[in-house]
Amino acid sequence: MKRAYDVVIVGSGVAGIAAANTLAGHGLEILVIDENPHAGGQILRQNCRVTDGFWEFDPRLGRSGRTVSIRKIVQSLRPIQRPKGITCVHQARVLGIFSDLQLLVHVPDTLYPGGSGSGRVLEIDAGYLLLATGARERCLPFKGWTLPGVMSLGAAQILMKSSGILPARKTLIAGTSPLQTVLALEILKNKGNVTAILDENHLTKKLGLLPLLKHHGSLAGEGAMQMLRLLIRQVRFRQGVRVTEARGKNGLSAVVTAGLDRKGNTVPGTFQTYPARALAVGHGFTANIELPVQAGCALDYDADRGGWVVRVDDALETSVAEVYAAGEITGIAGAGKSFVEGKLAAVSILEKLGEKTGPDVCVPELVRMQKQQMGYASFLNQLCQVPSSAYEAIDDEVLICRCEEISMGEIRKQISQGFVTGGSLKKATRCGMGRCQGRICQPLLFDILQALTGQTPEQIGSPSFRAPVKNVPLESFLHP
Amino acid sequence: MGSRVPHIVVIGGGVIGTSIAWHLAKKAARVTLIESNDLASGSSGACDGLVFMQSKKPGIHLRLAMESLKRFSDLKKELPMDIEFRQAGGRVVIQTPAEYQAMEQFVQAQQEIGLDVCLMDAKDTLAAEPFLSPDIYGSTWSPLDAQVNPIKLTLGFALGARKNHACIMTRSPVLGIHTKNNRVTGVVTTKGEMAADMVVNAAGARSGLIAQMVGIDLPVRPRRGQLVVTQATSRMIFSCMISAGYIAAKFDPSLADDAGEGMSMEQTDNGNLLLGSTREFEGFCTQNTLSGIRRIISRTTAILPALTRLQVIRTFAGLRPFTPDGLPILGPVASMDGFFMAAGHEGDGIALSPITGELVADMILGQKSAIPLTPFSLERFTTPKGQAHG
Amino acid sequence: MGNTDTDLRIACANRGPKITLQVDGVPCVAYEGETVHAALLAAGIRALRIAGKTGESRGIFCGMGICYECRVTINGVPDKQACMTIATDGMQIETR
Repeated sequence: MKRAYDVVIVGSGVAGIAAANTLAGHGLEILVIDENPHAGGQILRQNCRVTDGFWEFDPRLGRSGRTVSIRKIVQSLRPIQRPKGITCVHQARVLGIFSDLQLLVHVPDTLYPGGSGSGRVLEIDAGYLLLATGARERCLPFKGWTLPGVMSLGAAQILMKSSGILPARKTLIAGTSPLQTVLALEILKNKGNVTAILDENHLTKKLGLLPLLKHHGSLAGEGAMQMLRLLIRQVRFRQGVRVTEARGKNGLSAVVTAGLDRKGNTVPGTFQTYPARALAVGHGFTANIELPVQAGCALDYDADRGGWVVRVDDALETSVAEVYAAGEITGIAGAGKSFVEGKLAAVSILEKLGEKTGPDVCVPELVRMQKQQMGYASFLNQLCQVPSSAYEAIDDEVLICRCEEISMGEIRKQISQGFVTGGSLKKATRCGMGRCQGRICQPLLFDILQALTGQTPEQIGSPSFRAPVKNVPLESFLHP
Repeated sequence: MGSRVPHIVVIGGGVIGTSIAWHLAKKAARVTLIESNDLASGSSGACDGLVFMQSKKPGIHLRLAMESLKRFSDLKKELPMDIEFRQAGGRVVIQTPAEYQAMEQFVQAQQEIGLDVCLMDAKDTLAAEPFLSPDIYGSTWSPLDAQVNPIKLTLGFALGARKNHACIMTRSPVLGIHTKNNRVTGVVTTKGEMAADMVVNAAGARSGLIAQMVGIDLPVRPRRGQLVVTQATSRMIFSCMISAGYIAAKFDPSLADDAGEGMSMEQTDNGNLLLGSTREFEGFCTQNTLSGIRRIISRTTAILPALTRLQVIRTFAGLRPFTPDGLPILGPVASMDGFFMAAGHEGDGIALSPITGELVADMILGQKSAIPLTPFSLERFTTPKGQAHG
Repeated sequence: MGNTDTDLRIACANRGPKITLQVDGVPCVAYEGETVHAALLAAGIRALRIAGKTGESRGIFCGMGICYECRVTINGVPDKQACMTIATDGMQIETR
């Protein structure tokens, strides 16, 4: 590992791999950093289990000019020998981005043997920086959502994909996310059981969103196929139902649900209890913008793109020169957009460097595909969106900040005292001052503020993050 | 003005501005506090919470600090927020024989004026703070030293002021100050204009920019202080601490470049350790640097080795309003009627905020104050006998 | 701890060689390549730590290194993220 690279790519998910492939072969020194044990990000994690070597997508994938589905992306991935000039490090974490594209990076002892066992923190200079840090899930909090056994939809998938382990013999699935059906099928494929899928969305809302999919016939078809397969397997599927409570002593034992009216309010007298040892629940996604914020990149708020996202120009350059962003952090729209943007960002960087791109890259097609994928973003994010009444209805005793253990009651109290911006509410409550730096609670706090105060996103403000954006041992700073 | 109640505009929603607003509002003055961002979003939200007495030189500085300290216990009761004030004592950690000698003299001078402080050898120090490194040389200890949550203190002042009918405007950057015949008449913010009979400049590290609006040059410079925050953990230190080097840096900026920066440590009510601090002139930049973080961590772990098994969860940096003589600038300015200064506390803003608010409020309202403000006037930098210190 | 969830390992999954972890001093079977959080879940262990203020148990939540809920002590090093750590033979894991 060197201390300076022509291009540093943060994240080796779909966007990161697509970018690295496109940048390879031009004599550039490229560093791909990922905090996971293996490449692949959340989508390709079981396909990239080997630590050395690299991957590429079937070049035809970028020339179709049509919407690319996750299935196609997964299928078109193939292992290759690591291209010359590409260094790929795993379990290394970018902690901060300082001026002049200087990255603060924590690397494990496996990359720098002889250390203290805590790894070490280095500065790495990037000529160009491509941020492809992906997204995480959102979750609407409910009583008991901190109980062991309650997990995100993604967490349940990861258990199976990375380790071949089911979340439980029987898993209850809830929320608003399209990951619900994906997870259910994955569980069934692995001979597990699904107690039920409890979708908060009514059929009418979903039908109302269908016009947004008019250019995405293949994605709509794929969704319909998933539903059909679940129906054939006789999975219990309920719509217009929300989890109101998770019960159990030191772990989940039961889940209480309530029916929802058309506006998303719970209907009295519709409570139902399910025994459960695992509840997988999710309400859409939010972009991992910690590092772009660290780098000083301007953000935009767009509910149709999943909330606060990185502002980019047509070339995917952020407001900070030489810093590019690709994939979910410019708008939540799934793997297809990540693939296209990874390639496009790489092309932009190559153009800046005066390099010609290979024959397998067709920019006008990619641009067309990117625009199309954005249409899917509106569908996806509106589908996942929780009505503001749901935030208003959160019980006072429910914890919002899991790290600092701050309750909804405390948040309500401080909002009523006038702390109505994201920044001031954080100061008044400690929400977001814990280990995760607000990754879980800040999007919630934002939605709560919108619901309770009716302010604009700009009035509430975007979240802030400080280096190190991930926890690191003090000791790792002691070894230069 | 006639019999109308004068309108006082306080610029700056940090600990100094909110304290002044609270003190004024309590005395039924008509006050508007203007903050460009959120309350405590500048230095008051990016600093440690030390309320240290024994770091001050005997003289006006220490007197000010002692008067301030007295007021904290009342604030704890009066403010509508738990300010996490804890008077658990403080320690100046001594790491070399040379420092020990210097501190001997410093402590003697403090004891002569009756400050409750004593010198301890390594053995006694380690008995009181068992996690400290056995390599330390000793410490000075004062039961007077305390700590407070700076953010809660600022928010507490602001909420208290509002309870007493002060108007608080956040997210309202000041664009200009209107004057007529050498007297302030109004303040322009992004949200509009307002008439003002008096304007208090409590804009901390940015007070120079506010003063420029009325043609006044301030010798206040932003001095960056970086801090490191660890995870919350069980009690690791029982009182707040600074190193002897820190005191040296406070009194001689030329020492701040290297080891003279010293270190500070406190463990908050929440259990996090706050490790500080750097002292750097880098303009208005509030970015952290790897070298700054490294300096803080190597100095603090040398004194408290148990830290090494903790994790850093974030770092931050604030701009301390530095003045050439280390004392704040308080009171009226000769060249502009109705314009008052309350800035330049450098690293002492939190500790001195209660007394600053009281003195400035008393002065503005023409009441008798506990300490005369003349040694803190801006004019001390222009008159030949400018060195007010001591 | 409850062990009603044993046999969570998916039969058709590719597994590495069998390894043994020590979880709170008790031997626990796992397979090379599994993450610590998954191996613990397969052993019926859902509660991984105690939250400081409320004293509640916490376990896996995000599964991808975001939320810091799955912190355990690994080989004497506290607060390691179980979901981001690959299990290795003989690994000593302590939950709280």
